[in-house]
Amino acid sequence: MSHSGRPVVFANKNGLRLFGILHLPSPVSGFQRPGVLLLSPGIKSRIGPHRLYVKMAARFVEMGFAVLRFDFYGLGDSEGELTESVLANFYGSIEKGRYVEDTITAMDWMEQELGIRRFILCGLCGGAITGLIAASRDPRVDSLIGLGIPVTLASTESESYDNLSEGQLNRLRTKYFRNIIDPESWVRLLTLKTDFRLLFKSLSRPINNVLRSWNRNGEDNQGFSGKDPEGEGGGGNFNRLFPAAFFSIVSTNRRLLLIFSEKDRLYWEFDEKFNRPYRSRIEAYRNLVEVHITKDANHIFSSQESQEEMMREATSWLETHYCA
Amino acid sequence: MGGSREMVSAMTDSHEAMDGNDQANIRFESPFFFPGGDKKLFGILHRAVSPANGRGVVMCYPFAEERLWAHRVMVKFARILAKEGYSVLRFDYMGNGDSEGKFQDSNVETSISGILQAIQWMKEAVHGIREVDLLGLRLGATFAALVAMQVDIVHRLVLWGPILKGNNYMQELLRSHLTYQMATYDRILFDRKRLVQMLYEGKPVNIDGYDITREMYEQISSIDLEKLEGVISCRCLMVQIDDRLKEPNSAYQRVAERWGNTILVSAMEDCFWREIPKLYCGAPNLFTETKKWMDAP
Repeated sequence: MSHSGRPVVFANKNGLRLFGILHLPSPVSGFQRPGVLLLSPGIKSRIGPHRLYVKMAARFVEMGFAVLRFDFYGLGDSEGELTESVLANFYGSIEKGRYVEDTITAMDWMEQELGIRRFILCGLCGGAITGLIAASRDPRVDSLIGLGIPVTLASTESESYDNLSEGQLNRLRTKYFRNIIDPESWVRLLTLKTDFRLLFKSLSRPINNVLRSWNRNGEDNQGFSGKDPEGEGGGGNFNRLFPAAFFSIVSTNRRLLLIFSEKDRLYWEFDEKFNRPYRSRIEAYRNLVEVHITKDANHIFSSQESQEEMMREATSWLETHYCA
Repeated sequence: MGGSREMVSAMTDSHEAMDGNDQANIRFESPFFFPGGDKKLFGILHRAVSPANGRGVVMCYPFAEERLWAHRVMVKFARILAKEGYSVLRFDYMGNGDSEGKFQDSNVETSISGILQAIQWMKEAVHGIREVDLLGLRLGATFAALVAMQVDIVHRLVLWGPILKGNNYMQELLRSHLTYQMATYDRILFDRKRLVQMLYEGKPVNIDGYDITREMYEQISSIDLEKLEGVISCRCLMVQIDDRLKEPNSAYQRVAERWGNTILVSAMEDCFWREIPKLYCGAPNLFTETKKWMDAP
């Protein structure tokens, strides 16, 4: 079968028709390997930014996996309406598990159509967090490949300066210092066009950190906020579903491959709000969790080099765990 | 025609995936592949829901990532039209969306060829279609206008915010590459002049993940609807889309006047083909203006 795949339509639990493309390996002789589901990122549908999912499906099907990429309700070609008027609030709803049921429906459909009973969920951003939560709820999920997985909840309120990560503030600080020699920046400052709250926040954070470390007696696992990670999580916009789903998966001996982009705030957030605060717990499952940082990559892996690096990581991980 | 057979096959596949309750609806929206030269093109046919009015509409998507941001607006309008008796075909150009081929092998010629294949497919495969309209957004509108200049098979033309000067559009895309460089490397590695130079040296320039080739750059840059000699013989609606009340775009006015049979209207909408804070699943003002014109005798 050609990599263009076969258009499919199936109904979700509310009777809304979901559109997708099914890619089958050739020759089809029963499915020994788990099926791969590519879960839509944000509103970019089953195609993904710059056709990323089309390219990923082609690679995975070449390795012998059956791949389904489909549109969640209200997105792409699928039926259903979205009621949010602000994009950030819609993203937040995805991060709370809005499309978990559609993901489970897609697995049901693949099981019914192809007899596949084990799945690898794969997705970028909103697709990754959807996969993580779905995996924690459905034992048919064998593993997850999460690209740029968010650990925070997006919303119109979450842009608050209090939620900025160290990585974001470091970046801003570097920018401010570089702009010291830029006359235009001085004009902006003197004409009060500079965002002074942001400037103050980025410059004051290192001082606050030093003060905090004195009070903390060097204890490492208190994390970004300095609060108990189990209670408060890593900051005001931390998604509490994230650690619950993460540990539910690894504690049942299932694997996670998390690929981040070096220049993506989502990586800094993951590191500061989850990885560091929960370090000791994560360590116990080190053999099940792999984290890869793609150099010079942005959130959508737009450069060819970063796409290749991400694809190499994903395919080699699949090769190791499923094709050996 | 081969396309008809392919459609039937793809629809059967989709039917197989459905449970009984959906059989009644599926016939109204069917995904399928149809031949587009040596590559298969992906399309979705929205069949007329109410009694068909014999009119078909082929939708022409905008360029690259704009297609994804604007997708839901196009879907919504296709569904509105289908409810009103139109049959609508949305499709991906070669190397775009779900269609076969690589993006870097696509260009203006392949996109125009795709539109022509889509029109032909619609006329031959959809029963009762008497006439086919083209509706395009941004560069898709430009492609639609170019098709209408080349052949006399387009009944009406709807242009949503058409790109008149391809060169300006390409420069705008190259500017976005500078933003990307700043965000990724904290500095500009290649300015616009150097990016153009790279294109002429045969090195593709990556814009938002899409490899723009020299051929694509040259073909799009050479488009200038203001200066193009061609004549559009069908009736045309040109919609100026602005996020606030603005004077009519003088370039749009000049083109509309020169074509003669073109009406220029404006619709206040955000630029839903880009990432904006609003979630845009429909464009009511744009839809109203367009429907009003399309429904007029």
